[in-house]
Amino acid sequence: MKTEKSRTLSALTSAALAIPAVAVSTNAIADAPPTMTEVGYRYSQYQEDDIAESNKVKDVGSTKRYDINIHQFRVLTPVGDNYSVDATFDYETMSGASPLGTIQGADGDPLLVMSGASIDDTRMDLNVKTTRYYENGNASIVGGYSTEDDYEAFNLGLEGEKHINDKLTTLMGGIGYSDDTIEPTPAPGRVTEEEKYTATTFIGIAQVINAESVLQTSINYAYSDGYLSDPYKLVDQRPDSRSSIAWNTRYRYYLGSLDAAVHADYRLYVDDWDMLSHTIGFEWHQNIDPNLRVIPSFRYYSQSQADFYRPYDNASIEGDKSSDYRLSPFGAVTFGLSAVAHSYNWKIIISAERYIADGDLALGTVETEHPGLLQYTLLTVGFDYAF
Amino acid sequence: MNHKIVSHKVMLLPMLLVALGMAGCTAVQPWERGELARTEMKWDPDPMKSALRDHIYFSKEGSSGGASSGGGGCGCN
Amino acid sequence: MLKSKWLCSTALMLSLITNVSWAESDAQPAPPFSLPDIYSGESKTLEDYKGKVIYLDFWASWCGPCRQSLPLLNELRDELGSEYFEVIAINLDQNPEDGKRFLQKYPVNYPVLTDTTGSTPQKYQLSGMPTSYLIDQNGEIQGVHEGFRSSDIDKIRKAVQTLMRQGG
Repeated sequence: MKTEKSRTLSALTSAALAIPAVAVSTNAIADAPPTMTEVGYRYSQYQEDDIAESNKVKDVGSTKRYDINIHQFRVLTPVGDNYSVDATFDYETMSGASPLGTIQGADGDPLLVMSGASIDDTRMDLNVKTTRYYENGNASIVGGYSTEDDYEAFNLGLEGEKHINDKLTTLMGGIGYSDDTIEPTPAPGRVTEEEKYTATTFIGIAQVINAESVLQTSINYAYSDGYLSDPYKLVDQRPDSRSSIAWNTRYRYYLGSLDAAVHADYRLYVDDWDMLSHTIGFEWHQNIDPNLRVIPSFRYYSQSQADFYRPYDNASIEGDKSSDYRLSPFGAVTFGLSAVAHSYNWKIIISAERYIADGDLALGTVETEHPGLLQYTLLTVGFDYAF
Repeated sequence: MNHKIVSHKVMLLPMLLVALGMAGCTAVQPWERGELARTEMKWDPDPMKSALRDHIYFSKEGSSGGASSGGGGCGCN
Repeated sequence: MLKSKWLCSTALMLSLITNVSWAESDAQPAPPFSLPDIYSGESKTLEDYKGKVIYLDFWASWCGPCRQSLPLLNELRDELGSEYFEVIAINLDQNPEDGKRFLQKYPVNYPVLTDTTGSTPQKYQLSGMPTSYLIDQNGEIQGVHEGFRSSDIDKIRKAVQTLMRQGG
């Protein structure tokens, strides 16, 4: 809908490019590095509920599951006019017992064979993302290193975004590669060192629908090859490859009358182990006043079982088999509540979450619920500061 | 679950969603994008929180995959 | 919308080819406006500042780069004096209270007007936030600047000084 006058205004804009002292800056708002350096810290305490005595083999192992303390550090900083660096470092200490397997009890119900209470294990993870900003998009290189007492992983990735249609539409894509090595604590009959390779790729599109809402949808494909089994389980043999597709859709809507933003996310996951899952999450970001926001959240998750999953361990069966609860059919809900106090250059966060997994919560019918399904509480405090 | 049904859903739903989303789009002027610039309207207002949640769910459930090039794994139990 | 953009860029190409010397091309008169001051509510127009070099800055409280541009423009205005030069800011927040809250944190000494309707940016064909227009003493637009990085302030200073020297 451009008029004669506007055409010459545009001509002036480009003519202005020729004026030595008055350059038309091509740094449009949507793609510029952050204006300030931000640092952030979070401390979280993750605590799994104990196993009920009735769910485990009597007098074998501990009922105490995992307790994890997590320290997260982050620095996001502009570098020059066109770059930014986003680095995160996680430091975790954990202790607890894990299920070694599942056997059939006297009354036919599955019972967990639990390990003894473990000594502290430490995990560290460093991730660095460097981004180059262009007039209508950006491109990033991501690199990471992760280590635990018995585990080491490297990962590398490339991502990019391109804005089109007056910056109302964004196209995104990326590829990633990860190399994981496991060296489990020695035990007779256990593997000593194994490796796993994973390649991932994603494409997506985001669209501004109107002045209050945006929608994004993306597809992520992953392929893993190598040792995918759990060396700590008594009876566990998984296929040596896994191929999966995850389709994610996210919606954000600002309700002006209530001064609140609604988040709705949905993920559909399918893989060649015959597993299918649905994840749906909601968050309600309610502004109480210009310096306080309260965020209740809810997540629902349901997964079907992997085709080689067995409720009871049986070493004599041929082929792939596992009684790991993570491959069993179940549903789970998470209830969360966060509060954020904030001003121009700082933010204080406090949040709590409760997760409950149960066979009855699954979308399909679960005949035999795994006795090792999780329940946990997660508490987090932290702050962000910009300068 | 029946794979045939699933694969049809997987194909149609994303296309439908994107089509619906784009059909209802208005041309929002640059000075009208104030609400979209709000922190609480970002895809990810708290990256550290999402990173921790993603890591926990990846370790404790059977699924994975978000709109990113992936991150470190873990030898989790 | 896409079609008119194609027409626009074709016209642009033609005008570039035919305009051999930019100095001779007609500078466009800055579209007039009459807007209230964000604090006093008193109406101000572009005419009120004719005779001075004007840096017209469209901004909003939600615009990240504005946290750098406002203080730097304030410094520039103090440095060059307001006898022959003025910075006029037009706040585009739908709720001017948001703009005022921003100004409490990043105060400026130059006039800040408010436009909640979007009519002024429309007249100026604003295509990104923030955008500013360099207007000479005769009320004609001599340059357009989209976005803002701290290093831009030097380019702006040079451009303003050039016009101040050339001007009537």
